[in-house]
Amino acid sequence: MEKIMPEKLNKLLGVVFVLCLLLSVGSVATVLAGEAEESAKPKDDMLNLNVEDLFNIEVTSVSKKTQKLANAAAAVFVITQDDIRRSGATSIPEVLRIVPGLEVARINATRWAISSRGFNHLYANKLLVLMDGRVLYTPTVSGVDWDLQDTLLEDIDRIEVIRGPGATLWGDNAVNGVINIMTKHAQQTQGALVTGGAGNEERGFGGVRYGARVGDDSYYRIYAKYFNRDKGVDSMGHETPEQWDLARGGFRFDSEPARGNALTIQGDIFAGKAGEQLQTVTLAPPFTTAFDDRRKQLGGNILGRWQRSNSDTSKISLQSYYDHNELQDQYATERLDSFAVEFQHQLLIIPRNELVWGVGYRSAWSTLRDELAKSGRIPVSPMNPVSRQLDFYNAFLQDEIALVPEQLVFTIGTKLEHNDYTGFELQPNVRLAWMPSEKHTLWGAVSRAVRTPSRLDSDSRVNYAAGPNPDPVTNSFLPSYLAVIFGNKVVKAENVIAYEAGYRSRPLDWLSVDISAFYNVYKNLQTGVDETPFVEMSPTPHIVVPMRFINVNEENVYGAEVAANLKPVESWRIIPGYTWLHMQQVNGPSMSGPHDNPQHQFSLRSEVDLPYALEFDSALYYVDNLSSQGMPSYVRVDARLGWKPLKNLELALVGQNLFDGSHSEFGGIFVLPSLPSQVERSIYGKVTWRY
Amino acid sequence: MKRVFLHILLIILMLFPGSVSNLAAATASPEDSQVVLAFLYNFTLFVEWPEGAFNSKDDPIIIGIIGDDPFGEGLHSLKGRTVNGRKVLVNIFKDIQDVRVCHILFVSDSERDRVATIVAAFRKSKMLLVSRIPDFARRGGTINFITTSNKIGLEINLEAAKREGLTINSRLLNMSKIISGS
Repeated sequence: MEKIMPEKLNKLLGVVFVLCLLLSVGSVATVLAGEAEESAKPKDDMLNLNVEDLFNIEVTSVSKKTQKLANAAAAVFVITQDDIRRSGATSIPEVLRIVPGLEVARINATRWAISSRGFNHLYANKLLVLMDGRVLYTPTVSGVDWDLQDTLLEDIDRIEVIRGPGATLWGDNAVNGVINIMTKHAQQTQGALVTGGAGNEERGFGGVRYGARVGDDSYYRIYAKYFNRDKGVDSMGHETPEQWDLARGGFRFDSEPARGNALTIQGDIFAGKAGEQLQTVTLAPPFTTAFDDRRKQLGGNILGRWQRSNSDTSKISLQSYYDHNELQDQYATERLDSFAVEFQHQLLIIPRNELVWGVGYRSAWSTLRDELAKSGRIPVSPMNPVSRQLDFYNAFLQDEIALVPEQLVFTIGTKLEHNDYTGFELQPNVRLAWMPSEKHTLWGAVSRAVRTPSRLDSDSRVNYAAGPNPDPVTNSFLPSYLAVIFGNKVVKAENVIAYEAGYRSRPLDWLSVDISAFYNVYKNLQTGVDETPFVEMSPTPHIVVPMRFINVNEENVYGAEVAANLKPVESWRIIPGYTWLHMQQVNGPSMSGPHDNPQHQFSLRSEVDLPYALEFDSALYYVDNLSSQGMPSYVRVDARLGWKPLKNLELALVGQNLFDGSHSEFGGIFVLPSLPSQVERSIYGKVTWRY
Repeated sequence: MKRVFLHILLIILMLFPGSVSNLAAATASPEDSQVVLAFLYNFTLFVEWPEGAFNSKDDPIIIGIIGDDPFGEGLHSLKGRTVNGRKVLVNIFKDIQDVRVCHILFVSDSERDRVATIVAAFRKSKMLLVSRIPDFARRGGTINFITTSNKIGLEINLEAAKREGLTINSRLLNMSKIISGS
């Protein structure tokens, strides 16, 4: 293992850090414990009043806690459990299609490219994704392995999607957005749930969950699920080997051991096998070869969180988790172990200030071992060193100040983060929200965020192409060339200064509109610079045409997103969305082409409640072409018919991509570990029973 | 560099806890949600449930909340309380699908758009449906709260109570407005 810091010093610092963390928690807790006892009394007294007195108490107005989202000074979209159920989607990435402003493209039956506000890729590296506070973003390659992220969809409480930088509160790599997946409290998943179904693409799936109460204040649930998905088809109509089986199980335990204390312990394990078509370069014609493979997926995580609150004025939270992921195919064996501990303190300084501060430490042990060289083939992206430990430390502070209570709210905050590659990074933001009335919110924000370098940027050697040596002098003894991009040990962090503004309004009871616009200025974007060719003797003599990653690019990206929610009658909801994006290169070509992202996206969803406990839901998506990939625009139509013949029983018939036999959504850019395939028409039936 | 960073962290950590106690001095004027909660607790005393609503003599009385929880920490005041030998427990449900057996179901303000669906789903469920949403009782619920000149009052739909087999004590009825609705 190569380390950037001397091991001893590192360990010592780690211990000191954890110690001071515990110390701070301890002292805060003691302080708050005293207060909790004091402030609890008046509320208890209220219950002892007789009913006649209750009618005569004078009260203050309703608290505005639940209004927070409508007043947030950021582009936020929330997916509810009901949205998930009615979308008919069977995986988390597919659920995300409903979010205006996100780009969700399925690369093949097991891989997705998902980003916000541009820079989409298999490893879209500017979008931070969390599940119940656990970071799903991998520091091995910068991005999210969407094929590993799942849970029983019925257990998801909500998914919050923030477009634009969210680094101050959420953490590094939240450059273009944050997706925060939150599962339900165990109290909300009591009893049994059995669900299952089958179709042409969803060959078979099923899930079971059971939840119960232990004592008065503790709840748990356990779940297991399994799916088997069909092979894919390529653009020529040939079958591709992406048959996919995956089994997953987990639990969540929520308890209130004492007044104002909440304890959560949760964990998951999964194992699966996903078919894929791999491609690698060769030094002899035809210089590329593709073969079928099955990728083994294995992983598990365990998380504990303790929250303590004193009425509504002060909350502390301490969280720690351990996460293990393993991927193995003919390319490589990849392992990632992460450990994190985070402390957060939220403080309401009545009546004007809401302060949040926190500290965190995260460590990741990443191993990527090439498997192709063993059999004499050219590796795709071997890493040197094979393993590396990465440490991240952070501290943040944010204050929300009500300049004019309930009308003008100013937010200022910053995160200070330290990573092994680029040292300290400052990620500040300022936000202003103006609410001229309860129905209108106008907001603006300026923030800076960074994308921390990953091992792909520093340790990799990407062998991306080969061909016949065009030089007549040398080609007799060096018949071929190999094009390589080398990692750079002196990488810089890509960064953005983002200017955002938005308007959220509910002019009528049945209509709400959310508009946001942004102008992002990116610096230090990664690109490749040519280096001097050299000769390599193994496995056969050839010329290496090298490039090296370098952070010199600049790009300006601007765009707008519009989302609305209409409810002309109580039984009908219509949700239109539109996204416009423009990427403008300031100097030279960057690694991700400017048109890997659709310029226009449009969606229209409809949810209708019919008589006889029937529901009819439909969605139309238009996604513009990806010109640099030669990918045409496409229209996708999904529909779902749901029926609840009994209170505990729900039947659904779902059709996805109905008016199109199959279409491509993404592909054609270099360094894809597995080849793209098409999205096919899918029809499945599903039964859900709750008791 | 890391050492410097840790020093900064230490300073932040040491500074904050001390000042916390000064900053968090809370005001304690009763919010209407606290009064509403006290009413919910009183309903357990003033409402009689029909046969079959409880499985046994010491089955707990369960207060369910559907939608966003408006009471927060206030719920702790219910902890450890008993009514006629029954423990009072609280369950919070985010969606209709999650709702489990309860005796009082409080429909949160966040469910404003789903009143008809909720009322239809729990018809003849032996539950007392309560809400702060205006006209909730008129639309088929049993009780809704109304606020007039900073005081909280009740509107009770007796037909709905009858439908669910609930008997409401006259002491409560005398102080409430009786309305009729679907």
